[in-house]
Amino acid sequence: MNNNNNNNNNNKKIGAVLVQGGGIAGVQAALDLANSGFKVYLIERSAAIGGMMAQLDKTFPTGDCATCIVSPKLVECARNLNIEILTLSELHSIEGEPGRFTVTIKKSPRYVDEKICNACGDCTVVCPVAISDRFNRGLGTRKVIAKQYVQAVPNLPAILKLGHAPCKTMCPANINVQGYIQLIKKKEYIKAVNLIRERNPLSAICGRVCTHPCETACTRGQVDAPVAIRQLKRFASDKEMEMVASGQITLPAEKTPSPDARKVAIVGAGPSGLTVAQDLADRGYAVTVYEARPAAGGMLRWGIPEYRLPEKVLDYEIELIRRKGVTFVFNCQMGKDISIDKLREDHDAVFIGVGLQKGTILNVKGENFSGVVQGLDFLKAIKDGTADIKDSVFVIGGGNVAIDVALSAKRLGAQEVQMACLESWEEMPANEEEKKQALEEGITIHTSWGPKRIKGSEGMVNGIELKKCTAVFDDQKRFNPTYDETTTKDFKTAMVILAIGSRSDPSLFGTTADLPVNQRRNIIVDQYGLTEKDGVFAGGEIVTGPATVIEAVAAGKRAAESIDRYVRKEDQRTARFENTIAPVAEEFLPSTAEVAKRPRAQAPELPVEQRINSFAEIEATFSEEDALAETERCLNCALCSECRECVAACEKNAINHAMEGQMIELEVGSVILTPGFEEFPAAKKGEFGFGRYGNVITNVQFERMLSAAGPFEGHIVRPSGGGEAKRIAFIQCVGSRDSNCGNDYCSSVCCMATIKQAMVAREHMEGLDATIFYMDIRAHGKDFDQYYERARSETNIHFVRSMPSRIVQVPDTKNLRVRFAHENREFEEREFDLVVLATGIDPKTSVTERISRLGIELNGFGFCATNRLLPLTTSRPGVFVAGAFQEPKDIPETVTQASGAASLAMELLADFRNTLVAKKSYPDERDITDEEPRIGVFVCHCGINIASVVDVTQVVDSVKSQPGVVFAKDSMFTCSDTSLSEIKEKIREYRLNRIVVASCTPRTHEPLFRETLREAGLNPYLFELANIRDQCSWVHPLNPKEATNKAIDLVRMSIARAQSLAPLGGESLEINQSGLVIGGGMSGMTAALSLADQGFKTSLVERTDRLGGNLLNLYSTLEKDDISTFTASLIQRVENHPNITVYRETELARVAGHIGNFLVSLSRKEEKIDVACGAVIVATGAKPAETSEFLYGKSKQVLTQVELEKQLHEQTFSTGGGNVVMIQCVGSRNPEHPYCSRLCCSMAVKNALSIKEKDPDAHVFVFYRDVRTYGFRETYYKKAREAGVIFIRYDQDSPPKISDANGLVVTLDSPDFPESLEIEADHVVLSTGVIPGEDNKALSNMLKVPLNADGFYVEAHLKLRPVDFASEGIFLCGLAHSPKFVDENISQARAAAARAATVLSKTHLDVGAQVSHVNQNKCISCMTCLKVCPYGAPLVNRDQKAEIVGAKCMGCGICAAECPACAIQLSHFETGQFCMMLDTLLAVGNPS
Amino acid sequence: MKYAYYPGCASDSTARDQHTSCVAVARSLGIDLAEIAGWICCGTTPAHQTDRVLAASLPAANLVRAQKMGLDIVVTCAACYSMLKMANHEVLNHPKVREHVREVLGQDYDGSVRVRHFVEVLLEDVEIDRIRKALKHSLNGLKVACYYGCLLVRPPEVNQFDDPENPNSLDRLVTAMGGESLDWPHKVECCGGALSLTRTDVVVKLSDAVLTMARAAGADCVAVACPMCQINLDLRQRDIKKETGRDHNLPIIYITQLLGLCLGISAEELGLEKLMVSPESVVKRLTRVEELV
Repeated sequence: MNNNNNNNNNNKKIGAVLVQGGGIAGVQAALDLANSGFKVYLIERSAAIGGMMAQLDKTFPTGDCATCIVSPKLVECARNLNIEILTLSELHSIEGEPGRFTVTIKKSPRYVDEKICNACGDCTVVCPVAISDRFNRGLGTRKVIAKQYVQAVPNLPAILKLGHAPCKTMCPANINVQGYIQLIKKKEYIKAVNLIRERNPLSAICGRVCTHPCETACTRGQVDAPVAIRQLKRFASDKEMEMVASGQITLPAEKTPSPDARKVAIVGAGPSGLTVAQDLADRGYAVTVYEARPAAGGMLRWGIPEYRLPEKVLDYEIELIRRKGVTFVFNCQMGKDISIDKLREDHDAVFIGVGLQKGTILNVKGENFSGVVQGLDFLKAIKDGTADIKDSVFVIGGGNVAIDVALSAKRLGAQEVQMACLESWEEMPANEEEKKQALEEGITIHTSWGPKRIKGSEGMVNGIELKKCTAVFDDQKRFNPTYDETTTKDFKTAMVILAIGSRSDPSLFGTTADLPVNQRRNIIVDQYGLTEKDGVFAGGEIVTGPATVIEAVAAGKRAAESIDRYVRKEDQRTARFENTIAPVAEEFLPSTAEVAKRPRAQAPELPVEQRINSFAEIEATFSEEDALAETERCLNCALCSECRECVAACEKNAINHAMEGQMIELEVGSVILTPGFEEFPAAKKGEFGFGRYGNVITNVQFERMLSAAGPFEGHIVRPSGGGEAKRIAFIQCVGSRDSNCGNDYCSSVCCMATIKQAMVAREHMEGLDATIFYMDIRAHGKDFDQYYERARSETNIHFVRSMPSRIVQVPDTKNLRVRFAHENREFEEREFDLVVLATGIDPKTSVTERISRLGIELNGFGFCATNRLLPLTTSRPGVFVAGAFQEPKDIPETVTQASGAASLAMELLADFRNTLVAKKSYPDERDITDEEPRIGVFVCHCGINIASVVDVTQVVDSVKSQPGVVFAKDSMFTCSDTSLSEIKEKIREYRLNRIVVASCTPRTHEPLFRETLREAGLNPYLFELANIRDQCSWVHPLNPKEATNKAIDLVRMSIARAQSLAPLGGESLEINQSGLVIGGGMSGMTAALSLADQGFKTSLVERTDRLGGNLLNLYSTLEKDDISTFTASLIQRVENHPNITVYRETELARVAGHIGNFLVSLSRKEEKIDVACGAVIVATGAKPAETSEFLYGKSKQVLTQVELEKQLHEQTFSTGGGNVVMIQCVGSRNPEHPYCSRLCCSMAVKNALSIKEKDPDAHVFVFYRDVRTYGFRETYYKKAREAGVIFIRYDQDSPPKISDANGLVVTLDSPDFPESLEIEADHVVLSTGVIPGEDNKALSNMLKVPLNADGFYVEAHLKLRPVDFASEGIFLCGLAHSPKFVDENISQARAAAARAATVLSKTHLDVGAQVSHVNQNKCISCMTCLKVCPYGAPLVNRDQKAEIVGAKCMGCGICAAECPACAIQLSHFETGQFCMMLDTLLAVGNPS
Repeated sequence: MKYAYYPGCASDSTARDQHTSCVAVARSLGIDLAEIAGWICCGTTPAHQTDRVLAASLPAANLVRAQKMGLDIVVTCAACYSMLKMANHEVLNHPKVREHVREVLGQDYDGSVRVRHFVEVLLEDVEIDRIRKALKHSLNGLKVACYYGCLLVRPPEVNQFDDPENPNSLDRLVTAMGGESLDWPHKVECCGGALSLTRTDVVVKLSDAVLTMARAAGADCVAVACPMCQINLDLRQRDIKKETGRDHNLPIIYITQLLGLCLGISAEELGLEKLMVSPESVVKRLTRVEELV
């Protein structure tokens, strides 16, 4: 590959092109460029190329399966050595100048290694997250890791990630909530608990006592209620304990730290200390926990009652931590038994997590009476068995501790328990569930009351006086209560328990006075938890003040990380976990509007009467059924839950969740924009109820519905349920031709798309009844009108010319009532099962935004700004455009423009062709002529795809001894780099000369293996693939034994065939690198200029004495571009171009030869000229139709539109104050001329506007059948109506009548008027349309290319090869193809040139080896092959026998199949080879 | 929160109950409604059907008065709302009309007074959260079909209030009140409007369609915000029964009456006795907020 980087020559251009957008336009442009010597970068925003076309079911009017015809092109792109596909990539910027651009591309991560993944699909199967599938427009679901669609290219899955879900970001410890919920959904309970414990060792504990801020953040809360996250955590943890208890799993083995492990001391065995202990033990530290009390757990043990957190749960999770090698030292109090300094001396680091041990005091009178106790002391006393209780208890406080105190008092036997708190009911800090439990247990809660004084006598409490609290918080939301001292109430009570907070215990710091504390006596630390003392860290409540368990855990996580970094002397700042938690952007959170409400699961609770007498656990765990149902309520906010099931399932280790995006800079000479479009957002037309009514869908949704690979497998059903949809309404122009939504243009494709959908749907369902509501049917393309007429003749497809005003959904049936006005203005409401909205093409939002960033000018609708004479050129030189982003258009026009844009890039970079392309070189082929077959067999497991069904080793064993086999082996992935290297190695080692691979499918993998053979010096045709996956393991998953036998048979057959495989070599033909263009009109001239500008010598043959063709009769476009000047300059450029030879007054006499080497005989008058060329372009044009209808030729006042245009241009036309009547479709769209001439409607609009401009008072009437001003031409139709041009419709059956008895009078019966119209006309103007040239027949015979019934040339494929002929090397453009406008002809002419350049740019052409041969001895000269060959490859030789021209043969095999004498064989698919396979299969004594 | 209140003619007659309930709700929520002294008719259908200048001048005369008060103008009647909004739109976009209005009023009006529907004030200025906190009663799952009619949300370029095809402002209030707002397809169908007296046959036909759909959707009552809608749907139920035999028996209740009930305002003050179809079933459904906990 050439390297241009160091070249400072400014004239030097770069022979590479960037194509932005991987739809059919981008794919076509990329292929044309790469096949003519340019390096191509194809940028696609999504995970796969294919664009809209891959989403369609069938194409019109051909009825091809869209995927089937587009897929080969996509695969070709992927295989082309000179096309680099960059998926998930966006074009970020373009710098530089034409010929030398620097482009920046933003590539998002796929999270799947493109080089390693072999698309086995295992990840997709195990992924628990199913989300709405955008590819199916929300009609089905897809897994979060999946291929974009079945046939996706590249054939790889991608993971959809949005960041981190609110539950995870809101959790102080950032537990992957969505992840463990998805694992629970899969019943992977142990994996779920392990995922929780990665961020929180106290899973079962928090499953009971957590304050669950995650639930507050849960998006589901906006639908009905948050997911019961805490309970699900508990469920998974309890499942684990249950499995341990039942012996299904065992506790992990006890570990001991290595003797040289670094040592860390932890003071306090509360939640933060335990967390630090686990994390550091996991990292190999020797951890000792010093605890003042006789057991671990801290407040979990002494502050939380048994009925909420049973001790056995606590013990269980502490035991798990202990088993990690953590040593506990109990009854060891800081400040008394140990000192921090001593600990620091003995350890590499110290962590202090002693918590807050003392209750906060009230500072009111009477607080010292006996019977006033602290809540924390009370709860601890219960655990110690020393608690004292009275009959009546009054608890002060509104938090969880206060409620726990109250509930415990009740359980100890207190008859009357009351509570008072400053906060209102809503403001109370206690959890809702705890508040609820308090009420249930009969506890009276006095909200908004605070203690004024505690009353007593003789040192004993006997009552309390409360005062009204008017506000708890001040304006800054700080705790700052205000009271109404005058409003008070009194209560009698024997005991007052204070639960209003906790504080640090000053005695703890006896010997550590040098640790700085703040005024609340909390230890001061930096942001990483380090105190002022080197190596001493602190965390949890002792640092932050009162906090929750999960906050303490989070503090422990951070401290453990800091301590590890401290000990290993690493930087504290970089790459800390907590900084990686990017939340999902709010606009990407799932929409909650349409989510059906489902009740939140409720865990059973002990009945009140049972629970108040004991400390038995109140709340039970979920049943499995409830838990699984609850997981379904999760909305998967972040899309991927990062549960890592895919990582575990991927045998090739191709998945990397940490993959990051990148910016890529590329040097290219030119850029082609093919970003495509979006569908108009149908919900904007509220009257149709899309998004509101389940059975109103868009046309793209309907395509997915019709698709066999779609979510309904081709069944037409009602998304709301209720079975098949038999009565279907199609509403046209939704978001098109509609100034209300700013889209005044016509989307051009919807009419035909709808007709096709109705026709296809009819085949899918018996009894279908389709109604199409339309304004005009715009069937203006080649063969379209014939298709429309066919649909109209169907009895169950109805066309109703009306724009419905509203859809009403019937509440019970969900049927849809479409309201519309008939032609007679009567209103009707008709009921349907399904309504399909034909949404238009709309580049707005994403496409527009992205492109305008690049400095590309857009038009008023957001499409690329171009003009009719430069249709492919953007406002930025060197940047070209193609496809629907330029103007709404269908597939053939898109493909044409793509090739046309490619030709512009080729012209710009002509001198730098072949500078950057890679050509692979191979070692010389080994001659195996005299070798016996030596076959190597490689059997693939394909991960578990094959091996889980087929016994692969048995297959290997069974085929080892087959004749010819010298080597056989199985491998995990035969297509992996290592396996391919091994194949090459074995070829050398064993001198193998035939290779059989038994694996997936030759469709995708044969080229790869053939390539490997070439690299090893073997002819690629010495390869055979036995398909034991797609055709064996995948279809027989339930019959492994039979499948294994079948696999053995398949491989044996392949081995048999392999023995007779012979090396095949094609010819290499020298190419004549000059072109010939037939026709000197605009298309011919444009094509010739394009070839000439690319440096190819070109002959231009024109029959008349003048270049210009029909262009000479045109003066301006509808948009007022000056055609006369354009024509003149075009002719001048052609005549002066050094690479063009013009032959005027010349016709073709004879054409001989084939692609790369045509010999064309020209005749100019008496002269004969022979021209040799490599490619031929047919641009012979067409001509205006003539007529004798409507008194044309009899009355001077009757003229054609072409004549009118000339008169208007020469200013010789005058209305004479009378009426001008234009009649459309004269001689068109009738049985003699069934096609639409496409141009006439716009031409009438153009001329009518010209008349109105000159004379605004002139009366212009246009009698039409359908106005077909498609694309942006629609805006001129609107202008004409606004200018007062009157459009009146007529039916084909009652055309206008004309008489000139008393001056010209035109009469008309219009379906839109109740009575006949009679107009006295000063002028009548006829739109007579376009007819093909009469000498097309002769030329088509000469070139052996076909004509259609109308007399126009037939291209190779209507959709995807619009400018090719089936015969290679001959191309087509202009009116000879079909009627079309100047801009369309320009695009098509350039497209033909680009296609011709793919031939002319090469010096040699490799003719395929897989071609047919005629056995001359057997040939009976019947010439059947000549008749059946679509490519004209057979010829009759001198011996009157058939012979096949290799350069023309496409290897399709039709001739071989049809030859009655069996004289023809297709190389590599020879009869003998298949007979050997069959013999092997059917042989007597078949060993399997 | 102070506004220039424009009650409109109906508030003195057919929609007395809408007026009193609106005033009571406003008081309860701390909204200060200062009635415009000397307000006159908005012109309503007769004006806009006959004379473009008159149709702009009559509302403008009221808008000028509000402008002097320095306040946004608040309206309860959808027709008045539409007329006032349209007057602003006219003088802002058509200089000739503005010139004519200046001649009629004897002073210029620049179209700058903000015209608000009372529902708009509730949602945008008071806000749902505050309303919810003030509620004493809940609708406790009452199924309410919110009916917007033609003039509250259309034409969208003039009114610029809510989605013209599927509005939800009344629905949001109903949901806040603990009711179930129904998604039904006739939220913006026409009830017959000003043809109430001249073409009763049309009103019967159209109102019947609206009520039939509301019933099919399962409504317990219909909430409205326009005196014309209210009277057509309420008053004509008897005629509908006579014509079609269908006895809808659906209470048609102003949104301010529903809100008033939930705020604990008395039935008398809300004018509930003025409704033709008894709202008893609605009142019975009310549940004290505390009881729901």
